Amino acid sequence: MRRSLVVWFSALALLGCASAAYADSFFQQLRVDSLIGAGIDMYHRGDYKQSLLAFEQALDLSPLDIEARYDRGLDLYALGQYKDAAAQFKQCTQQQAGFVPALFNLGVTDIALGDLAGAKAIFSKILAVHPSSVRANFDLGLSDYLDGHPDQAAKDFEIAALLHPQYVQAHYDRALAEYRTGNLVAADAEANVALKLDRNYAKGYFLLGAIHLRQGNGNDAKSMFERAQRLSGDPVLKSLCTQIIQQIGA
Amino acid sequence: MMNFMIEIGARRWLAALCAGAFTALASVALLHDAQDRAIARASSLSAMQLADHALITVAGPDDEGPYTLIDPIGPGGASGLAAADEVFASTIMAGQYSTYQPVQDPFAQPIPGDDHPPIPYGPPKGRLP
Repeated sequence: MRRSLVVWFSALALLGCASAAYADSFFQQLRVDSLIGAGIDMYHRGDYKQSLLAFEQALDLSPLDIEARYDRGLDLYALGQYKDAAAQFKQCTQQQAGFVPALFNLGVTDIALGDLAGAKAIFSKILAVHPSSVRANFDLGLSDYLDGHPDQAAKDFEIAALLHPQYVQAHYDRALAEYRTGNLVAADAEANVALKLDRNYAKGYFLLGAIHLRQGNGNDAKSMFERAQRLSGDPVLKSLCTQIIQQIGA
Repeated sequence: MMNFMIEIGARRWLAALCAGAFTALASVALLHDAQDRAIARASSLSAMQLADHALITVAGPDDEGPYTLIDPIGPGGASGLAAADEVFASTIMAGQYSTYQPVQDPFAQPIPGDDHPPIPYGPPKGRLP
């Protein structure tokens, strides 16, 4: 009788401990999830500093939480702390090899850091498995363009534009890349496609102005810069347009 | 006969004088034209340089909204699968649950003291014209 009481008591004690541990773990995960949810909400509201604090608290509680680490990388990127952001995304890919969103974001962060070779390697790796990824094609184009290969960039943007014909930026960037290679005819055609998709795209008119200027067509160039000036909400672009218009009119 | 010779000589002198005057006028006109062209060329070159300076920046996906990076993952955000789909999709899809942001202009320069995150699609260091 005594022995069975001891056994029962021990079993109950063990069960209690296990339950307490489970409850502890359950409530901790609940707290982590709650912090991540709050962090995501603040990220969307643009409060990156507070959002970052929430993800850091989540990581203090659960250092291996891959979502909190990934989201922390987004905040660091948004705050312009690209090196730290890259470290977070890299750690995510090391922790989970197939974590593609972290890999892609690492590529974008590499562009921001000027590590264009690293960025190109990542986007090419994604495209090797998913060649129809419009974002990977587009960002490969950005990397090629910034790396001083506008001819290759034009091809990347062309694929992005073929995959997603309504993607204004793909047409605009292809036009810009063609402009850099000196193919003004192709640049003109693509800039016009971008403007057909978005009649109020100030940068498109600006680029067309530059193309006309290179073609020696001052009047058309002036008219395009005037449109860009009228449509742009950016004071820097507006001021540039004013200066260029004055130069043409001189 | 002597008078005739003098007349021919005078005519030659007159013709030479006219030719000289014409050449001088033409030279002045051409010079002015060349100067005008040079001024025009210099002006268009400056305009061209200004335009090229602005066009060093490419348009990034952030130009259309907060699509620079793949969306956050976790409670209230995307699932890991949905985020991976964003990467693989053959059309631009993102931020379906987030607020659409106004168009950002990549020509915009960072304002000192402003807390807004910088736009990454500028030229890398040392590549500015």
